[in-house]
Amino acid sequence: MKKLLLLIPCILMLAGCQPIKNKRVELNQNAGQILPISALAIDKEDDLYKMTIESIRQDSLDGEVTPEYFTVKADDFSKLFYNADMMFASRLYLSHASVVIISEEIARFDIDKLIDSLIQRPDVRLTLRIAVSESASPDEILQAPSVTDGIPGMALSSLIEKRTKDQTFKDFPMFRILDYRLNGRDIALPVLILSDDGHAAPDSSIIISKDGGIKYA
Amino acid sequence: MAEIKFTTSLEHNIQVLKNIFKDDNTFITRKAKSKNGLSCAVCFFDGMVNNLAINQSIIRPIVSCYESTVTAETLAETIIQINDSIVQTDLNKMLSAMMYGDTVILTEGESRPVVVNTKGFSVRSSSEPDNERVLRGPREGFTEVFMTNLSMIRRRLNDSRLKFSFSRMATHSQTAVCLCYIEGVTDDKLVKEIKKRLNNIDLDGILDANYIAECIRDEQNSPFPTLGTTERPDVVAAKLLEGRVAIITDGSPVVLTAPCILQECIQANDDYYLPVMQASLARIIRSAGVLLSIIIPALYIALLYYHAELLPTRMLLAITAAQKGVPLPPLWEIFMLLIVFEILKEAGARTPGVIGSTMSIVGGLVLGQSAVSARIISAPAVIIVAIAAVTGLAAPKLQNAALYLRFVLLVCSALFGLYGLILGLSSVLLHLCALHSCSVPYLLNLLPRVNAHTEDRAIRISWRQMKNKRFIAGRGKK
Repeated sequence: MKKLLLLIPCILMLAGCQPIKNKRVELNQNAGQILPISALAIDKEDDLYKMTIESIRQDSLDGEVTPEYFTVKADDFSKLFYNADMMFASRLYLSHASVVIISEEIARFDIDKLIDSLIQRPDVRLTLRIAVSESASPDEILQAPSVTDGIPGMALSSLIEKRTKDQTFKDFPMFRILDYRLNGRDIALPVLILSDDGHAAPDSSIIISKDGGIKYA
Repeated sequence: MAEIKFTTSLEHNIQVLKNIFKDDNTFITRKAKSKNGLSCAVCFFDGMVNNLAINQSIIRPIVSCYESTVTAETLAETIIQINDSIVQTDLNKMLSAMMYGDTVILTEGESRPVVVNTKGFSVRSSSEPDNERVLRGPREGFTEVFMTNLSMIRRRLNDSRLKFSFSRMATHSQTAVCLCYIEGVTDDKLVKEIKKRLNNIDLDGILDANYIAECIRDEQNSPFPTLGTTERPDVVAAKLLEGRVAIITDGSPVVLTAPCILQECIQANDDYYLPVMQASLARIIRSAGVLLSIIIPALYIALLYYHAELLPTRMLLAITAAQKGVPLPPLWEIFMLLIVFEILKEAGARTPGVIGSTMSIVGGLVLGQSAVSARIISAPAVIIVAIAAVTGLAAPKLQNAALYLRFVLLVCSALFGLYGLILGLSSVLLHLCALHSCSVPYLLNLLPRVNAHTEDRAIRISWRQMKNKRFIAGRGKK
C-alpha cells in the first residue's frame, strides 16, 4: 500500500513531461530521422517572410559534414516554422542551431515577434544568437563559403562567439535580448557583411531601440 | 530408511544387508576368518573405499587374530588398525555411513556392527576457482569433498572458538551440511536464525549449495544477492572473522555466507591483499563500472530520444550518420544486442574451453563487425552494449542484478527520458533501502544513516588501522 501511495506523486510528476503537439516521441523513430539545423537566415520579401534553413548532414562515418539549404515562406513567423516542420519527413531539430541571421528591417520592426515564435519551440536554446545582415541578404551571408569550417552557419557562430569573447561585439544571446526588450532597453546585435572575397565577416554592432530606431556602433 | 534389525548370527546379518542392497552390484561383502575361528564380514561399496586400508588395516588384523570370539568394542579398539572406528548401535546411521565410503564389520556372535572410516573415493584436487581469480594472494579453492573443505577453513583459523555444527538434510540424499562460525565473534541471534532456517528446509535432495541458498535467503524476488557465495577458503575465513556464518554443503565447492551486504558485492577477493591505494582505487572504479553497466544503455536511449540537445553537435551527427540505413530504431537495436550478448555469454559459459573462446571471437567480433558493415545494426549501439557488457564484469556478484536493471531502466528511459531513468534509479535505491540480509540492512556501511559500523567502506583502510575499526556483522555501531 505504501509503495502504491509513493507511486502517485511519482506519476503526478510526469504531468510536466507530456510532449507538446507534433513533438511526441515515437519509440520507433530512427536517430537518422533527426534533421539538425545549424543556422537560419530570415528575410522579408513582398510582405512575406522567407526563411533559409541550413541543415547539417553526415552521410558517412568518416566525419565529413555537408550543409543543405531549404527555403520556406509565410506571412508570419509561426506559419514560417510550421511550414518548415511540415516540409520534411525528418524531425527539424533546432537545438544545435546557434545563429539566426536577419535583415535590418526585421531587426528593427519584427524582432519581438521572431523571438516570441522562437521561444515557443521547445528545441530552441535561449543561447541562440541573432545577427543582422548588411550589404547582402541574410541567405547570401549564410551561404557564403566558409574558410575554416565546412558548415558556414557553424563557422559564423564560432566567429561571433570569438568576437563576443574579445568584446568586439556585445554579448546578446536570445535570453538577454528578451530581457532587454521586456524592460524597454536598447539591444545591440552583431552586423555581418560579405567581404570582397565573398566570405561572411563581422563588421560592427547595430543598436536597436524599442521604437525601431537604429544606430551603428 | 528401511527398518533393520541385526542378531548375533553373522549369516543372518549379512543376508539382511544383502536384501537391502539386492540389486546393487557395487555392494561387496568379504568374509574374513582367523585360524582360531573368529568369523567376520567386511561390507563396503566398491569405488567408495580405500582398498589398501581395508586390506592392510581391517582384513589382515582379523585374519591374524588369535581370538576365537570378540565383542564389537574389542574389535574396534584392539584389532582394527584405523584411527576412526566406532561401534554403531543406530543401524540407520550405519547404513548412511557405509553408503558414504565407510566399511561395516559384522562379527559372529555380535549384533552390533563396527563402522570404520575407509573413505577413499576419487576427488578433484584443489585449484584456484575460475570465477574468483586474484592478482595476488592464496590460490586455493574448495573442492567437492566436505571434510577437505572444513580442513581448509580450520587451517586458516587456528582458534578453539571456531565451531563446526553438522546436520544431515534432505530425505533421499541425506546431504551433510555444516554451519560454521566463531563463537564470541558471531552474533548468537544470527546463529540461531540460520539454524532455524536450515531446520525448516524440506527437500528430497541437496546436490549443491544453491538448493540451500534458495531455501534460506531473504527477499527471494530481489535480483540482488542476499546470501554470499564463494569458492575460496580465505574469503570464508575473512567473513567468519567479520562475524558472519558459513554454510558448507557436502558435494559442492560453493560455500554460503550470511549476512551479505551490498558493500561486499563490490569488493574483490584480493582487495585486502593489494596495497591500500591500489585497492581503494580499484573499489571506486568497480563501483563506477557497475553503475555505468546499468545505466549506459538507458542513458543512450534517453539522450537520443528525448534530450538530443545534450549531445554535442558532432556526436549527434555521427550517431545519425551511423543510424542511416539501419532498419531498426535505436531502442530495438539496444534491446536486441543486449539479448544477443546474454545469449553469447550463456553459450560461451557452457561451451568447453577452446570452442568457447573461438565462439566468443566469432560471435563478438566477426558477427558484430559484419552486422555493422551490413547496416543491420549501428556502430554506436554496438559500442554502448559492449561498454555495458564489459563494465558489468567489474563486479561479478552483481551481474544478475545488472542484467535485470539494464532492461528495466532501458524501458523507463524509453518511456520517459531522463526523468524515467532517474525514477527507475530512485526505485532501485528504495528497493535497496528496504532490503535486509538476516536482519542486517543491505546498504550497511554505504548509506550515511547506517554507515557507522566501520571505516572500511568505499575507500579501504590500512590493516594497521583495521583492528579496532573492522566491520563485524550484527555488532552495534563502533
